[in-house]
Amino acid sequence: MSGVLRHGVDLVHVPALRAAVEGNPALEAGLFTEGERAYAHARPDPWPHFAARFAAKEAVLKALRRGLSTEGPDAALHEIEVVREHGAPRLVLTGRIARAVERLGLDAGALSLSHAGDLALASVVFGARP
Amino acid sequence: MGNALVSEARIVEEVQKALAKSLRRKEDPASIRLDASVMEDLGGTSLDFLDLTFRLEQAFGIRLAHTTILDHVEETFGEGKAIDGSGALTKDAVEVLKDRMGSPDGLSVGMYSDEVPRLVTPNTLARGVREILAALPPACTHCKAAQWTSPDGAKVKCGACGKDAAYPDGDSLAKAWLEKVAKEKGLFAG
Ligand SMILES: [Zn+2]
Repeated sequence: MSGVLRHGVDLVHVPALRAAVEGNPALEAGLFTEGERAYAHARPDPWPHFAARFAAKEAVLKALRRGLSTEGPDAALHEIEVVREHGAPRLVLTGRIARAVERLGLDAGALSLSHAGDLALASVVFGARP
Repeated sequence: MGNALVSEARIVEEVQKALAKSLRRKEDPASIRLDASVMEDLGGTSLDFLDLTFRLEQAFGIRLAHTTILDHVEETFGEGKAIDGSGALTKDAVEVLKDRMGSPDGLSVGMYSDEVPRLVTPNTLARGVREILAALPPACTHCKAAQWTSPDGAKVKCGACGKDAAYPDGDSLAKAWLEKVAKEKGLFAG
């Protein structure tokens, strides 16, 4: 699969994500990894960070054209992790998501996050694996 | 039918209640149509969908499948059996989804798996709950007593030790279902 480029973008309404997680505490651990939760809770306001991470997961799924489970909470959300060590955030893909990326002949993916006001945005681009 | 302690009517009622809560809908939950598309007709987003399924797990004390049936196909029968090299659904994968989801319109070979969630209806959600409730073990796995009770008509508890019923999880039931259907229909063979 040469010359392939896959792009996914997703916009999340921060108050909607906050309302959902505050209204159903099981959701936080269901959507986010330990590392993502630790990162967000270390910020003065964790919600834009949670929203941007959820947007990143959805953007990856869109780029791969992979649907979430239609039967229950999808474990694939934990297989797409946003990690931020120094500076720019990056994607860490594991399990079935990593295998899907490999099968499609894609590289590790480039991630960009942004937020303004009540909105958080993530954009993900996969190129062909060199 | 769910099981002897949780009625079919209660399953439907809890699905409608969870939908009303997750989707912040103002109408009477009982008026939510069971064949409506959760995403297209009821305005659900993928976040609402996740919230909804967590609510159903809590209401019934169950664990729904956390892996899509398409991933179960690939894990059981091999990579590429459900989703081809371009990411589209195979013919056999569409057969499985039709059976699993009650033949919704709009399933076709070559569509992408991200188009499947919009076919989900309250009926589809109720089906997943029902499959797990129907697998209530005959006796308590903690104390071996066969005295199930359900004070609230949704969560089943042991009448002897008081622990919640340990249902099999949705993924193991989905996998067993898949193996049976694939065998009956001769899917994923070659
Ligand atoms: Zn017991």
